[in-house]
Amino acid sequence: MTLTIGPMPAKTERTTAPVWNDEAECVRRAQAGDTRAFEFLYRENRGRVYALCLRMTANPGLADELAQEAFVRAWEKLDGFRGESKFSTWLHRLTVNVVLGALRQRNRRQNRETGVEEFEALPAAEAAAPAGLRADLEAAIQSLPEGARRVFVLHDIEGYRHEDIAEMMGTATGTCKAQLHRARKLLRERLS
Amino acid sequence: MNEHDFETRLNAYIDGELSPEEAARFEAELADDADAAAEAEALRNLLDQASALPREIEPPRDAWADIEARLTPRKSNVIRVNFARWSMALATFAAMALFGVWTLNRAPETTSPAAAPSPAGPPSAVLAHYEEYREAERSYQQAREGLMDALSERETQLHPETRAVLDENLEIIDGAMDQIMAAMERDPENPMLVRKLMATREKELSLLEQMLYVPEGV
Repeated sequence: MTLTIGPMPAKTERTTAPVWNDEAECVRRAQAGDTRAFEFLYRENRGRVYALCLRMTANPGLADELAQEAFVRAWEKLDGFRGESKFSTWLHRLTVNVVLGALRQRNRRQNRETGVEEFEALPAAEAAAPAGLRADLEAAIQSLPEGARRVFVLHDIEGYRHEDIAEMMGTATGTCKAQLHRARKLLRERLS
Repeated sequence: MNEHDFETRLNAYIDGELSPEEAARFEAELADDADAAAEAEALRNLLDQASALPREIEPPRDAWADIEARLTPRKSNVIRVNFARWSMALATFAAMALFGVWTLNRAPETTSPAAAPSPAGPPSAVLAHYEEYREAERSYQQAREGLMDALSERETQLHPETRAVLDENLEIIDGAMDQIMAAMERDPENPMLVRKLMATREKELSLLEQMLYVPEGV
C-alpha cells in the first residue's frame, strides 16, 4: 500500500479558471444545475475530501472511489444545502457519512463471510509513506484497527466532538472514547 | 492505579475533561512518577503532530471526468416549480369548486373560452376560473411527467420491493381517480368530487416526490 502525499497544486495551476470567486455563488449556480460551478467546488475541495477518505480507510483505491462518491452524493443532495454552514463543512460531514456507510456495508458483508467483527489494517511496515515524522505518523495511523483509526482521525485530526462522532457512527459516546484511547495508546507504542 | 484507569485519566486530563481538583491531583501523580510523566508527554506530542498534519492530500488522479459522467441533470428545481404552481392552481380551483361554480366540463376543450364566449356560455367569472383550471391541469401534467422521468432514472437504485409497493400504490391512486372522474361525469355540479380529485392527485405527486428521496438500495 502506498500513501502518496504531495503538495496541492497551486491555485493558478488548476485547469479550470474560476469564473466566480465566491463559494456561495458557486453553490447557488450548482444548485441551479451548473456543472461548471460544481467542478470548481470539486477542485477547491478534492484535496480535503481525499485526505479524509484516505485517512479513514487506509486504502488509496477505496479512498479515491469514496471521494468520487462523496462528490456525486453532494451533487444529489445539493438542494438540501441551505448555506447555514460553509459548503466545505457540509461536504466534509457528508464525506464522513459516505465513508462510514461504506465501511459499515463492507464490514457487514465480510462479517457474513468470515464472522470477523472488524478488519485490521495492514501492518505499519507495509505502508510506504513520505520520509519524516509526519510520514511515520501517517503510516502509524494507517496501521490502526479500523474502529480506532476512524475515531482518531475524526477526533484528533478533524476536530469532531465525541458526541458528533458517536451519532455519525451510531454508537455510544463511551465506545467512541474507548476507541480513541486505544488508538492513542497504539500510536504512542508504534511511534516510540 | 491499573493501566486502564491510568489511560482513562490521562486522556481525560489531556482532553481537559477533569475538574480542577482532579487535574491538580493527577499532575501531582505525574510529578512523582517519571514513567507516567513520559506517557503524558508522549500523548501531548502525538496530538500536536496529529493536529499539524496537512488537511489536504493530493488525490492520485483528477476524477472530475468520472464524477461529471455520474451527475444527473438537476430536475428537482423544475419539478418543485411545477409542483408549487400546481399547488397554487389547486388552491384557487378548489376554492372555486367550493362555491359551486363547477361548470368547467361544459367549457370548450380546444378553443379559448375567453376569446369567443357564446351568449349562452358560462359567465366571465367561471371563464376566469376555467383558465386557472387549464393552468392547474398543465401544471399537474408537467409535475407528474417530471417526477416520473426523474423516478425512471432512479428505478434501478430502488429495491425491487420498494418499487413494487410504489407501483401498487400508484395503481390504487389511478383507480381512485378513474372512479372520481366517472362520478364527475354523472354529477358535474358536485364540488366534493372536485376536491376529492385534487386531493388524490396531490397524494399521487407527493408519493412520487417522496420516492425520489428514498436512499439507494432501500
